[in-house]
Amino acid sequence: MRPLSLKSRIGFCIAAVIAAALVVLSIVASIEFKEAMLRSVDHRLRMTAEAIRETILTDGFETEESRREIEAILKGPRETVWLGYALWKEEDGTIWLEQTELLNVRDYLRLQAQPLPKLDEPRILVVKDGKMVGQMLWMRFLAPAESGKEGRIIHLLLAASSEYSYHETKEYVQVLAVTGSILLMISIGVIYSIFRWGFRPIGELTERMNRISEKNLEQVSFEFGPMPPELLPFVHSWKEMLQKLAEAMSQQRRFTADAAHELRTPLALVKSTLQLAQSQPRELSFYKRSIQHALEDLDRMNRLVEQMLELSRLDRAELDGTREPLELGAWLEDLSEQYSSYAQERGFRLVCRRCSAWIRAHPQQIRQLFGNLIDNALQYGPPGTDVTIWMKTDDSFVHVQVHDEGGRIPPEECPFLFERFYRLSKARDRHSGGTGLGLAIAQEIAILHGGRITVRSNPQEGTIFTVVLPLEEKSSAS
Amino acid sequence: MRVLIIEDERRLADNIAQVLREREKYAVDISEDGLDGFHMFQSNPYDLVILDLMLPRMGGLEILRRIRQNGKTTPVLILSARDSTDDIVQGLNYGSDDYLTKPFDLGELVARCKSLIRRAYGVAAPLIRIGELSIDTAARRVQAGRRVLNLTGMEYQTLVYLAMRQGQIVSKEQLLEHLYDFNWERFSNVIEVYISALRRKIDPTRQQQYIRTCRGQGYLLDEPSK
Repeated sequence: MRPLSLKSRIGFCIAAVIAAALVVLSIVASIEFKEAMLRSVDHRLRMTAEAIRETILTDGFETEESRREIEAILKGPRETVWLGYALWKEEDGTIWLEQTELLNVRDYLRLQAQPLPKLDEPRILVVKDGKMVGQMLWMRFLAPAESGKEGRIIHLLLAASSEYSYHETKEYVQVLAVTGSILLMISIGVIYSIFRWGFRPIGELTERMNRISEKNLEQVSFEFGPMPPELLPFVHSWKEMLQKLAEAMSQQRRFTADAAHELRTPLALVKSTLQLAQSQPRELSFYKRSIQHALEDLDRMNRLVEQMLELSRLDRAELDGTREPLELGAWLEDLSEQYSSYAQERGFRLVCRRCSAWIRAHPQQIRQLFGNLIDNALQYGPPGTDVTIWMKTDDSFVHVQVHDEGGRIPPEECPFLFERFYRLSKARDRHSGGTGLGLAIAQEIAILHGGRITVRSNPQEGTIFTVVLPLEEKSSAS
Repeated sequence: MRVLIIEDERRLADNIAQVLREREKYAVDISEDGLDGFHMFQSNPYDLVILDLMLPRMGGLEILRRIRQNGKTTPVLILSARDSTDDIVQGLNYGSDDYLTKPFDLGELVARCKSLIRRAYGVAAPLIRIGELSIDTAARRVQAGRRVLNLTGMEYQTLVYLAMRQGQIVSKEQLLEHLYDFNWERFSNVIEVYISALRRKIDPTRQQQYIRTCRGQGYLLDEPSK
């Protein structure tokens, strides 16, 4: 099943709450209304009973005037349909006046209400066939003593139909239900349009997001104009992500372009060298030299491809479990011994001043890191001088410096030195065989190992590359 | 014809220079550095500049911008490893006349160079005819009537240069500057030697005078006056 949209979810919730509120309200209102109707019938019953009592008190019991007066009173209020009434004396139960067309109230009382309800009970409901049909009042009062007769206790029983109030209540409930439903519809409509209005920024945002693809990422403007504050964090993080993505992509694109550029140049060299050799008959030495050059250029391309692959491997490398504890001091001494004859060939003396430092590292990558730095020093330092490897440790890091006497790097170019394919503007030296990737690889490896690499260069000190790597935790080292 | 190559890959520049010298007998100078290259361009009358874009000290586009800013119309061929349409359009918009991406074909490069130089002298067709003299710059063959002339490289270059500037007086200095690069010893009388050899080879009977000497000014190649 498709998940409901946010709009419908919130809309439904609010509509349900409103509907529930309306239902509760209608129930309460209809109960209250019914109660009010009952009370009004009560009131009428009592008023009528009082009026009858007054009549009897003034005009006497069992007199003709009283009878007429009472009948007049009972005809009075039109909205009341009398179910029946009875007036009798308590002492012998002789009925004076009675109307039993609809209901023999005394019999009813006897039949229905065993034991008899209390006198003056505020409300006696008349139930017929399990359905309430009316209300009844039972009143007892003392009729005053008349000439020759002593005062008597008179009972008055009066029953009124509740049909009217029943109808009223029913109508009222119907009206409530209809208005309630209409209200519900209207509120759903209002809620819907409010949501449409409220969700419009999200819609617009989505549309703008949809228009972004990997092709136009760099041309996208990240300005959105005013936004509801709830969306701001989302827009911000989204913007940030896009910008990072755009940056990464442009970096990737630049790298690809640079790589193509770097590969095309040796390719052009090989091609032109071979075409030149082929263009006309040459001496044997010319052919030999051409082949030699072509091979050198192919080597250069090969090295470049290898290093590019290495970089892409490093880009994807994770903190894997292939790292092992390594004593960097002894290891660096080993490495400098491996390099010493090559250094001598190039006219350098390679010096290693080591101390003990345990790190956790990928041996091949660490070899590449320091190999690249030593290569770099042997390539660019002035021959006849020393290339020195210094080491020192502090609480949690080991600092390794590779130092040569050449102060060749202008300070403003130092930050760019680790960029891929960056070459010093003064000496874009391809003849040395550098690919422009060695230092980028070194930096990548240092970062992968949780460290960093920096460079300082000036004519007084020479050039110093400093690699900082975290020491292995003492507990696991011992 | 004198060509300047500004390319930081020395061996590539050498290869191009060698093929231009061997096939076309062009005079070629090389600079591996952008700034030096620009200075060389300013102090010598080149007929063509072959320009790399990524150069130390001064980028190729900057050199191009300065060349055009100085009002020079010298044809410039950009030789770059950048092959995106944007790069090519940018290169052309900076005022280059042609754009060739690396790796390229040496033969194509030479053909483009020749065409650019011809165009710069207002000669579109590869075949130049002056009276009975016809110079086929594509095949590097010169005929006087039906007779094919056997010219040395420098004689041929001298003739082509004069033919490109047909009807104009060309000074001896101009000839020297356009036919020789830095590596050559310039003898003051070397031009006279070539001119007399050319005259002899074009018309051994010396009845028609294609190359006239304008005293004190230089030489002029045109249809012989009857």
